[in-house]
Amino acid sequence: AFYSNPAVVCLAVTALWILLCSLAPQGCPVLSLANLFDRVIQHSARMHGLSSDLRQDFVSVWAPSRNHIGRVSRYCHTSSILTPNDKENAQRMTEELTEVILKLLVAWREPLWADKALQVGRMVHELRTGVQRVAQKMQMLGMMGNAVSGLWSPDAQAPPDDGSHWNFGNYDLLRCFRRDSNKVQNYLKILKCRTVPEYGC
Amino acid sequence: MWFMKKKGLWLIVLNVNNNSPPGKPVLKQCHSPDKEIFTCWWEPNAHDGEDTTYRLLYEKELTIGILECPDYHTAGKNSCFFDKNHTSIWVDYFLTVVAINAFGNTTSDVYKIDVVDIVKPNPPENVTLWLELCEDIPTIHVTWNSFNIGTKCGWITPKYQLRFKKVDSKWNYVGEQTQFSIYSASPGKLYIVQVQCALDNGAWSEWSNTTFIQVPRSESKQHIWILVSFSAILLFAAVCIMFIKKKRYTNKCCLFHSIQQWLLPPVPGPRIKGIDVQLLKNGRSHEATRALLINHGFPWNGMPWKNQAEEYLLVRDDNKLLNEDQKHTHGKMISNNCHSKPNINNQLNVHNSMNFKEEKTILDDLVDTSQSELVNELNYVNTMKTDTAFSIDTIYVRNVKPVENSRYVDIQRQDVDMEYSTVREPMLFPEKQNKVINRQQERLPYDYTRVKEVNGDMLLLQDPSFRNNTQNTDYINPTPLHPVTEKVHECAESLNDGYVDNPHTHNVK
Repeated sequence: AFYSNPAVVCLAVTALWILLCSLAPQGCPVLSLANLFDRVIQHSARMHGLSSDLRQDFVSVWAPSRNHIGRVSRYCHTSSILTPNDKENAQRMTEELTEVILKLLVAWREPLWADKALQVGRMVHELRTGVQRVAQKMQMLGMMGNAVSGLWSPDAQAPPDDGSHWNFGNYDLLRCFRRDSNKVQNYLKILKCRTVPEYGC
Repeated sequence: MWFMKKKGLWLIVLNVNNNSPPGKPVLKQCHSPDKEIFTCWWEPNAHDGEDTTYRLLYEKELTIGILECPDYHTAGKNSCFFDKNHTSIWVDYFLTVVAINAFGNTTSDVYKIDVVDIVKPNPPENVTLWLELCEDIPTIHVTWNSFNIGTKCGWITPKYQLRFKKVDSKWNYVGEQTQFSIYSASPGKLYIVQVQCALDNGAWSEWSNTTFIQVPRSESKQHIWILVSFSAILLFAAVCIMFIKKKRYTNKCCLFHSIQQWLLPPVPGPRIKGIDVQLLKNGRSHEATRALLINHGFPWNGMPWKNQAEEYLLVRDDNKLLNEDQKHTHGKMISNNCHSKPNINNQLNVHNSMNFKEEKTILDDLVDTSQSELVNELNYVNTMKTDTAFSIDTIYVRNVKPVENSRYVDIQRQDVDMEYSTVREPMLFPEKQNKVINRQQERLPYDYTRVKEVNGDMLLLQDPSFRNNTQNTDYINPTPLHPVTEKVHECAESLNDGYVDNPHTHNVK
């Protein structure tokens, strides 16, 4: 149901919170930011779990024993987005991390949205909305600059693509999505522990 | 390749295996304990010689060129250790191992990994158990070293699983906790605990080394449980017996009375042969006592118990044994064996082989002998609460004590609150009887009242010679008593609501 969707609930709570805080800007608790983080992290975990299942189903059906002898795998369409690949680099970025997350989510909206039957496309969209709310709150609380505000518009640019080669039966696509969803989940955790470390880090 | 010297000739004996390139090695596994470093192991071919060397070469996604393992030694033989500088997450590695010897080299298959998929931590260390006793309730607390390095910044999220068991039982699994407590541990048992962990959604580690703890015994608990279980068994047995006997009690059907009758087997009320209860009730005690005087010396005969049993079961007008219906109505078969269910129709059950010690033992089982206020050597007949001659009191039997060479049981009575009850037994009309009961020629304790049978609304009257000595009080002064009582039904089972109704001893005119 519409109301059972955690991202929607999260948005509703955030909207209400923003409304209240706009009326009384002083004394709004930071705890709600930690709550928001928890919600989006849970959502990203679900999304990653779904992507793993999709990939696993594909593998079990087609059983590819891909043998990239002397070759690297095909690039993902998100490979152009620079993402931190180790702990130190990830901890070094805070603002950039939020930007990376949003970029990834925006990039995946297009290929997954094309297949409306899949729940994962909607999940990507909702997660992106949730992360946008988190970023706005962080900016409101002074934790972040305005660098990423360009990504917050709902119609943020997806990578230019005609969408023709989006073949969800493509093993590489599933593999890439599984990896990127894992990145998003991990980055959100790191972001939370940098922003509100006293809550469960 | 090895050399052999034989007759001056150097023979070079070539091992066939060493004459060829090495066999194909196999990459077995790669693991990362913390998602920051990882190690890979390979297995050389079994036929490879000692001089075969191995090199691990790899390619990395988003990196051009072939790289070689940075560290062959840290993780042991046939391994490659990748430190932090060489580890990238969410990047595909394509690994190959090359076996090289003098004759060539052999390359293994490509082994593709992504470090995020090969995370398997080491088992938790320093698993500690400690026991807490809170009001004799033992609780076991389990702690262990937790992941700290990558956890604080959110890089990894550890989760733990714990399992514990008592020796010789199954494992209990508990998950997703950072510490654990086993509440209400069983005293006296040995507990075994193991912990394992996983990072993010990766593989579970091996179980930690087993840790033991012995819970001390709780002495008080044992005693309490012994008491409780014993009491429960007794209660259950009491209820069962009560239900079994319930059908025998037609007059009083209330629960308490049933329990009372079971616990305190009724002493058969005195029945004096030759006394017509109706006469007494009608107030014509004169005639009743006259009959008593006639019969007071009726002898006990030496008949076996069995015959007497028959005799006393005769009802009304005939000498036949009570049939089943009458048994239910009137109760009981006299039986020497108090534990067996009386069977009126079966005379064979009745025997006189039992000696009185057995009787006493049995009776002691039936009769509550635990009262501390036992009055040994009762010396009075129970008194009535009212002055009316016809109200009858109940005797609570205590400490039934047999008398030597007697077929009867002396009943020691105790002055307790009496409960009014009537004994409804078939009245024995002396004129119907042809048998005479011999009286025991023995010295009786002064203070005993011997009763033979509870029979109807009978009054126990003392020997007329005592009349002058007794008032409306208990019989206290020991005077020779010539009881005109009859045989007592010793067994509680043998009576209906058979509390002995001994009348208040008062002047009988």
